[in-house]
Amino acid sequence: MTEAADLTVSNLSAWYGESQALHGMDFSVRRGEVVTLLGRNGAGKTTTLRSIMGLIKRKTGEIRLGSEELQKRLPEYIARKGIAYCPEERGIFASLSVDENLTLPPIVAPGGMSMDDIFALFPNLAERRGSQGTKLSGGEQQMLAIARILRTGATMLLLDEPTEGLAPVIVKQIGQVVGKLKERGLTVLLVEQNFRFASKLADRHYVVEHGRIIDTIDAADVAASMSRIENYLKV
Amino acid sequence: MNTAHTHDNIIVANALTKRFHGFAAVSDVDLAVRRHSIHALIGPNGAGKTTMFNLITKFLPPTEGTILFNGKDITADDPARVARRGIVRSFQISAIYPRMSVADNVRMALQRPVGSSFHFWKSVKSLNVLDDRIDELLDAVGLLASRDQAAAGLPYGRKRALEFATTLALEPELMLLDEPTSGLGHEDVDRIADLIKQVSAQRTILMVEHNLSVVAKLADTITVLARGKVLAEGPYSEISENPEVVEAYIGGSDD
Amino acid sequence: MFELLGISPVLLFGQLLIGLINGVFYSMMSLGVAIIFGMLRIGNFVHGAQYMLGAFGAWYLLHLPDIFPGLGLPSLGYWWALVLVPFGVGLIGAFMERFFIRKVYDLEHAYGLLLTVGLAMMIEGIFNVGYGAAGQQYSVPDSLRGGINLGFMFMPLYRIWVIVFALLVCLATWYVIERTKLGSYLRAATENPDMVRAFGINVPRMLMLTYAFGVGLAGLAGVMAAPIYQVSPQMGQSIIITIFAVVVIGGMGSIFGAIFTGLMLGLIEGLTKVFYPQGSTTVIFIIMAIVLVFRPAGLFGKETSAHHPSDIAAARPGSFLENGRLWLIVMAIGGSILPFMVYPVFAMKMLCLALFASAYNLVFGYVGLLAFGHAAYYGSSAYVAAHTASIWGFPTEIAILSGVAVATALGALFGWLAIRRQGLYFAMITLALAQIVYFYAIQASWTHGEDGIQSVPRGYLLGFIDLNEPLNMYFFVLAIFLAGFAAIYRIVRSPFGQVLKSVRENEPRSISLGYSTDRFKLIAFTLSAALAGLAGGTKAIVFQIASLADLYFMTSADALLMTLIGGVGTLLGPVVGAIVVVTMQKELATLGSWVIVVQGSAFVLCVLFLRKGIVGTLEDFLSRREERKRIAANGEAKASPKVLDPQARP
Repeated sequence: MTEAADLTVSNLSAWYGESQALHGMDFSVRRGEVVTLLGRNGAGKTTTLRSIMGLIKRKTGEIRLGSEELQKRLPEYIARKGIAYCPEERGIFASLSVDENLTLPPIVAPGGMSMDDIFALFPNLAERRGSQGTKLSGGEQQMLAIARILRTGATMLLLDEPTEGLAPVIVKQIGQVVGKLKERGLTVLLVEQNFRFASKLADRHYVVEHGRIIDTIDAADVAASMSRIENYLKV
Repeated sequence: MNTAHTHDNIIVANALTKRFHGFAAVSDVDLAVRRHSIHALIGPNGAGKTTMFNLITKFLPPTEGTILFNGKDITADDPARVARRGIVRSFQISAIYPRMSVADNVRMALQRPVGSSFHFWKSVKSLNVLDDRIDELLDAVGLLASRDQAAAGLPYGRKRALEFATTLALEPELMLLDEPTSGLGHEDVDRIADLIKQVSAQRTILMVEHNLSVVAKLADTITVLARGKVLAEGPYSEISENPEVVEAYIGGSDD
Repeated sequence: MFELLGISPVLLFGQLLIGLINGVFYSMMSLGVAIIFGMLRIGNFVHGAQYMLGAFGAWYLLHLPDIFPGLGLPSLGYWWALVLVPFGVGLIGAFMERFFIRKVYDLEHAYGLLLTVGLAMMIEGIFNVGYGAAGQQYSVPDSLRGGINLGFMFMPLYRIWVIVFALLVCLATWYVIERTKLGSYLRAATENPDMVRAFGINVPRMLMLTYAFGVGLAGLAGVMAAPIYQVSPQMGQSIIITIFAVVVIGGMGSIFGAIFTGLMLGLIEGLTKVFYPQGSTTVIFIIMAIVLVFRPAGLFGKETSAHHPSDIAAARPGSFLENGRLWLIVMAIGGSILPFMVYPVFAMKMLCLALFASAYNLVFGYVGLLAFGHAAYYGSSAYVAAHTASIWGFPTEIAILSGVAVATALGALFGWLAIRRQGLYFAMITLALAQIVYFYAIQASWTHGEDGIQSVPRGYLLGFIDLNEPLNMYFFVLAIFLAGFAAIYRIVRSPFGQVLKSVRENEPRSISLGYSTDRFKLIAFTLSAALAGLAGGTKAIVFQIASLADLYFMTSADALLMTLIGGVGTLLGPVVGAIVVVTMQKELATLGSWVIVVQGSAFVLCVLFLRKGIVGTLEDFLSRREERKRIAANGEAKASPKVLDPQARP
């Protein structure tokens, strides 16, 4: 495994065309942590992940991995530094089989999971190796999207709403997977709207609103802050 | 759906389904929008809200199901025809004509009912009769001072206002607003919300909106979509207490 | 021996074999075009030239000792060529991608096509200088001489080899793309390049290699074609338009679809040669038109496209350069002086082409549709005007109007077919449809084939003004030009023109306001064809000739070039462009065949460095100056680059 490093985002602003989506994000993720970005739709969580991954061109501020500045780097470079991204829409390639989807991302560092490990973690995928990517159910697609970045040896995973639109039993399964990843020492930056899911996994929560961090809640304080959190997220 | 009240409903969608490559973005959705109400569609990302909009305005053909507008079946219409019937939509990203002046943007909407849009031999000056109405509409959204400026130069929030004025210019019977406040600052959000309220008097509004305080303030009825299906429907007070809705937004307990 | 519908089996099977041979070339070529389009979103017009490079590569290798005497180089035969040339051509492709094509990925599709058109003109032009129209012979390799007598026909060994080997290459390509790791990268990057980059794969390099591979396929096809067809600079030009039609028919859905469609169309072409020889050159284009009516996405295509017209207009609203009334007067005055400064014939050529380019600009600049077949309307009108004036004895003005009528009808029909597809497909379709007219003119008797219709009488205007008098003719042409220019200005500044502008800027919005945008596009296209016809008909009277050159795709390319050089979507751009191009052609006439190379370079340079054209660049300069003045006056710097540079819109 590459030397995992802390991720520090400071004063990050980003734009889609003329619409500014991030207005100075500040947060950090230490190695081995699971950290969530919470917030309503449109708060800027996805944009933050895409900015870290280098997929948004127009941005200012700093994104550091350890001491290295990544803000101006291209996605292919950032991926090689051990950051892997699992997008909200899952990014499963329709014209590729499950197997091909799984083996598509190249190994960026030693220490990634073997295929056996992966199939042990996601038994459903083993059965569907030959199927076309988009013939999978939503839950299977989500697992495939996570599974394929575990092979690569990436040490920092950016997961965008892995539970979105999934049935409770699958959500639970995905929760277990993220727990195991944490045990393996991976760093996870999780975007979630499902707070109950996130609260069981994360060391820390950042609440995002209007492209800024408006609150930070440590895992220890969650119980005490529940009403505050519901206020941020509720209907 | 309760068909007995169809005449009270301006739009009725029956068992609408839209599949993309086997994936059902919207599945078996019934939706009835009461005349002269503000109806909001809410739900988590990927719930199928924008797809519903595209189906109703016929920007996407439904895989299954029918859509009735004032009792008439419009399922087979093309999107321009739907618009001419009086269903006019806005878009998630501000839909303006960037290089036209602010006034010309609104003129594009007012021009169609004039009926000279195919007249390539007439001078564009023949459309100057619309100027008063243009100014009236621009005044309503606070853009009169910018009327001769190129629309591209407006700040983002003002562009949304311009789009709103253009949509309004057609006097639509049913106005579909796709996230009218997204990407706006607080001040602009309030201004747009007030405008929506103001223009809702003589017409029906169906909106997709993420800003729940806006929804709470404006909507008479809320339909919550999740995973392409209707999760709940009712007024805000009811919806906000509905445990299923709370779960969809905050996440359920797993016991 | 049996006979089939009175057709001898020798003829039937002979033509089927030729059809099959053509078919495998179509397959190989359209495969390359489809792969490049899928990955790079570039309509690789230079594919034909790259095919030609392959054939010449083989020929060069064979003649190494003659080309470099004294170096003691060996003559490398067919088998060497088969291995070396695809790599060489692929390498040239990689070079082209790196230094040219890469620059236009983020721009509108139109520029990719224009760039590759320019590159094709340059390459083909250079070879034309060296070898002219004459073909070079390349003989069948010794090991593949002879053939097999099947009793009813003789099968040359080389042709069997070509069919088998080409099919193997196609299948291997299919295998690599559909069944290998490398192929999975390609497929994934075609779907979602961002995601693939986020996995750490260097997508830009992959694009270069993909392009090189597609081009290498063209090079290989060229080597294989060398012993069958003549090795000539023109060999790629005719095939590329057919390939575009094949791609439109097959759609971009599947690799297998591209291979199958190529083969099938080759066979159909062969059969047509047996049963209706006159139709063999156009049958593929006619099939394309039929497919478009019933299955716009193509036989194997999936997407029907969400691509909307491109807004690449360079005009600045409210600029004095867009004031048609002012420039109408300026041009009336300038035009009246012109014949006393230059030869009237030269001035008239300029006027005809300026009108032609302005008509083209109506579709390309003001509606944003990349039409690439305006020669069809220009040329058909020229032929009809020439024919009605010289054979039917129509008065001059009626002859021209007859031409306009035919061009208008043709424009309405072709436009009706073409607006079913957008973007690059629109270009390919209009190009292919225009080719039908071109081939018709080669074959019909009244058009007199290669000779064209000559000695067209200029006649008398209104029955008494003698147009053989150069100045009379000139002022008649000037009047037509000014009338056409005024018509375009009015169309653009009409309620109808406003809708066109809105469609160009934001088509979904216009639909949502209730405009059936396709109808507006079709009317604009038809008007543009009518005005192109006015230019063509007038030209036939001025030069007293209608010829195949008027219908040739280079004439369509000229219209594009003039519009591009002058400034797309500007009122004066096409006029300025016509002046530049016509002057250039005259001044460079002494260079002979090099003119086409220069024109190709002009295309490339315009796309890379002068996208807004002369008028557009001038507008930029003026608006920057205005902005500076404004800032100086206000004392506060609140410059808004978005207003200055509409191209900078994200």
